[in-house]
Amino acid sequence: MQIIFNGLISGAAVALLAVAFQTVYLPTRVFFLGLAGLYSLAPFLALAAQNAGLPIAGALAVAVAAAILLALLCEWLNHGPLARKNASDGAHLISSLGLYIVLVQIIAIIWGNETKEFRLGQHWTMHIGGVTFTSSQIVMATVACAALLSTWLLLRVSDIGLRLRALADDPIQFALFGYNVDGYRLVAFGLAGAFAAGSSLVTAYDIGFDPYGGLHAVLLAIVAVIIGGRTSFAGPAVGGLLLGLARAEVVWYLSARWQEAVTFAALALFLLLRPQGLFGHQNRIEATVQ
Amino acid sequence: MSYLIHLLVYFDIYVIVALSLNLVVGYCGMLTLAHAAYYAIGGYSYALLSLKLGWGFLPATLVAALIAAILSLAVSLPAWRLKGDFFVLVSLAVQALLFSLIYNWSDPNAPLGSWKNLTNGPYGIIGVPAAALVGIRIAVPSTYLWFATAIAGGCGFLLWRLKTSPWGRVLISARDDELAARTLGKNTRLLKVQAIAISCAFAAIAGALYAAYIGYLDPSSASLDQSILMLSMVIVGGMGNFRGPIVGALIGDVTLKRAGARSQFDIAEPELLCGLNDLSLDGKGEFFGGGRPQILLCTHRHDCPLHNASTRLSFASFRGACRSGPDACRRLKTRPVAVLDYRGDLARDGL
Repeated sequence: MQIIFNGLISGAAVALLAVAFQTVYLPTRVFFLGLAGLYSLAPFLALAAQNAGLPIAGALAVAVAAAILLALLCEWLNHGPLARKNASDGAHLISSLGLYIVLVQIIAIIWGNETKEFRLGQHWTMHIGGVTFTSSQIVMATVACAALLSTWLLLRVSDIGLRLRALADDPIQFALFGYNVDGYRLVAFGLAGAFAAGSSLVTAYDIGFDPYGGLHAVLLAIVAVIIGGRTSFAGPAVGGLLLGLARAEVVWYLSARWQEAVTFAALALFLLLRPQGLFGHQNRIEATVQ
Repeated sequence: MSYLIHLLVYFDIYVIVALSLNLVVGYCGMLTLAHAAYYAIGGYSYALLSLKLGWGFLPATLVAALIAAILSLAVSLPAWRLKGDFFVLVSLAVQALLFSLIYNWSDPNAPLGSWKNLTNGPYGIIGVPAAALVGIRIAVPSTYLWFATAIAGGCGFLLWRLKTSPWGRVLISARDDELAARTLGKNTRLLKVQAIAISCAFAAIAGALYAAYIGYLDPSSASLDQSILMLSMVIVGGMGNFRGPIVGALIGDVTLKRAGARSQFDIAEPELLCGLNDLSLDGKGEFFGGGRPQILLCTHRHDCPLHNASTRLSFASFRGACRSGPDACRRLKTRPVAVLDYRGDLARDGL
């Protein structure tokens, strides 16, 4: 029981990041690995703001705001111009990887390579029916659930959500209807930045952070996206939870060393046998990829 | 001078890597992130065959290339169905799987190279024998440079002939328009499998050259960072251009090594971890690589397996390296000058 909950809670953070990835990937078809840079950067900014004397809420707000801003900059300076030139998927992917490397190197130059932690007083624990939760797990679960719920509401209820889904369905027709595609792309990137920062901050509170964790986290999130289904917005959330659960079970039954192997074996199996994921539409992958 | 030789040996290795990767990325049009894994497989195969069975360089490398070519099916079979971003993802998955295989296939109670402890996990393999050609060991860096250049030249020639052959022309046509190539009766699936197998085999040769040169191998040579580095060499030089990757390899080599040489203990390359034979400890970092390891050094780098903040294994593996270091060096009839601890401070002098 404990393992299931541990897995679900760490899966919630993965799910949040997966949703961040998906909010960019679906409307814009950009394979946004720069997200990993934002993921790495957010806790460092929060720590720096905290050290500068801001209260913790202020520091978190600064970090999230900076992540959103940087995500917008990534789109405005890199992916937007590339998309206008009709660049290939590969070009987006490589330049995005470049953004990640630059961001990580900047972090490493300014703050160093060491693993850091937030100082927020003692962790406390809570027992509910034989299951122990630490304070960081509760924070993680709350933030992730709130963010996932609000995303769902945003996408299902609000106008912006509707238009983002329309953009995801058919960008050309969306533009023909007179909507500003570039503007909505910016919205998608901004949302992704906020989710990535949120996921990153709660994870950092739980297990600490270093400059190089971002790419790994985003790769996990991408695996979650593939498992959940890359044509739906809800898929990644479920995929993230499942992935967290599976990884926790692997630690319990095998060893922590095999976590990565199992994760990526799942990715390979899904890509080969069910490329549309659990929630995807049934269509030929070659038709959608080309 | 010895620094220049070191740079040139690395350049030879990178040329093979970049040219072979270009075969997949440039001429097949498929971005792969698994190349470093095959490079490491080559290195490990050579290391084990020469260390455990006493094989010479050429047979060991040929077997290494064969192993890599067979394992390349893990990348090439998914390429039948997937393209674009999703092929990149599969290659990434293969990279992660092979990396964790190399990282985890160890057992502290079993001897190195046995079925239970094939790769020695995060500790890596220390004391890989220098390349032996018809019974003569090439341990001097300047001689090794000639040897590496000859191998790189040979590989380059083979790849160039492949590219200009009818086979290469079909490959390029399949990249430009796969449907058209198929309507002309070309088996593009088989073509991709062949191209990826050849490419991985050449990467394995480069890995074997590297292992024989540095004398030390650890899982970081299979890491994603290495794959990205290799990819960036091809992209900087120019995909689908035969001379481009050579230039890319030169740029990658020089910039990395120059950047590494300037900072004291922050070498830009994890593979320089061990096997530095002339290090002025007081100076601000004139590193001369090459030859056999005399110094065990752990840098600040995150991707250095001896100091990996993300794993609890870091300290254990570092002690392992310290412990096995002198032994390995004794076998090589050299003496480590010093062992540096994970912060780059002098831990033990004159072992």
